[in-house]
Amino acid sequence: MEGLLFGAGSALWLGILTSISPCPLATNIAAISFICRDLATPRKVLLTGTLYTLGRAVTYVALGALLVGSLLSMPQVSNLLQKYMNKLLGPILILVGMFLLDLLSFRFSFSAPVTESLQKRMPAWGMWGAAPLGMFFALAFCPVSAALFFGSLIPLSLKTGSSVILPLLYGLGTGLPVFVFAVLIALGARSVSQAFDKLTQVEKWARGVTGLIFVAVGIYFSLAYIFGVFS
Amino acid sequence: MTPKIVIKFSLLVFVFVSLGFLMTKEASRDTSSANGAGDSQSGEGPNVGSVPADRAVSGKAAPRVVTYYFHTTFRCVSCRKIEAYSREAIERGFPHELREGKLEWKVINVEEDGNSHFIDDYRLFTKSLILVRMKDGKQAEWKNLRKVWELLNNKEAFLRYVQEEVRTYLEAV
Repeated sequence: MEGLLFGAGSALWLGILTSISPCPLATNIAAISFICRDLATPRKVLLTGTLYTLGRAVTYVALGALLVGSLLSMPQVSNLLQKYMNKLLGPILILVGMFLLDLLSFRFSFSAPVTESLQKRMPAWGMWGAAPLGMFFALAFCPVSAALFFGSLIPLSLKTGSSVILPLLYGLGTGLPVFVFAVLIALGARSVSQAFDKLTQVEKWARGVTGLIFVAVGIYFSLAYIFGVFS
Repeated sequence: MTPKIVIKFSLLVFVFVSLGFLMTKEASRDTSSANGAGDSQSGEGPNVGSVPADRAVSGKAAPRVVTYYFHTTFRCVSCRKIEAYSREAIERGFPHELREGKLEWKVINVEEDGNSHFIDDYRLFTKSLILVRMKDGKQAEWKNLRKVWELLNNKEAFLRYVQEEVRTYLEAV
């Protein structure tokens, strides 16, 4: 029992350590801006942050279960994810950023009522989008997250025989700093904008900034991982 | 054309050029992989430490321990820090062994041609510091110094850890 408690604490700490290290900084900034963008409704910020964190946790649980069950080879999975996910992340983030900036939009060829219904649901989809965003960012392993997940967490899971709880706690740990920062920034921005009676404008501005951050982070990832500019 | 359309098309062109460049690069690269075993192993492995010709000429001894730092083309802040700390630990802790050729320090990019086999040889899942003990020019055992990632924010502990591990390997010869 003590071993599992120690393992649980270690897993959570490893997750936090992963999140506060410099290498996932770019994706963390993108995630924070995504979570913060509905700052007029704190409930939405909390829900988006929770979905993002759960998305990350689900990915690590699935990956952990497959690795602990020896269904996948650790070096191969790690290198494959580090090699390709970071390369794909750039173009995908740019496209998502373009959607957030309204530079791109879905064109539906359905009948009018269906289109209207879809349009009404779009903001809610934006919030639910935090879960796949978390999953995708979790799969984009950087050297630190790969070292701590594959090198420390998986051996710990094997040692304690816990292939679900420890990866889950690790995932929650990786999302926690992002969640806390996003909520603090959103609440701070909300209070300031309310004080100046500019909440609507600030929220509109926040959405634009989110799109710009996604595009900027996407360009950075493309230059770094595809074109090798910063190597 | 409005600035919005210009930005939209510039970004789309950038996305397509990136994807095209990526696919071209990947298509021209060999992708071969195989399973390895263990994270610290004894016994003969890849013959990574055969004595080079210049060593025989210089009169240096064959290395007893080789320290590899493996990285990829993209270098992150933490990866550079690990390389610098590891180099410092070895240069400060073992100047004589390095001079005499008993200990070697090698930095290898696993993404360069001919180096991908190291990923399978040492089960590399990220940038790693690997210790290899040699016997008669062949690998006898190896170890992945995994703790370097956890000690990254404590330089003294990092240097001490690397030096202790290298010392253990040198003494085991």
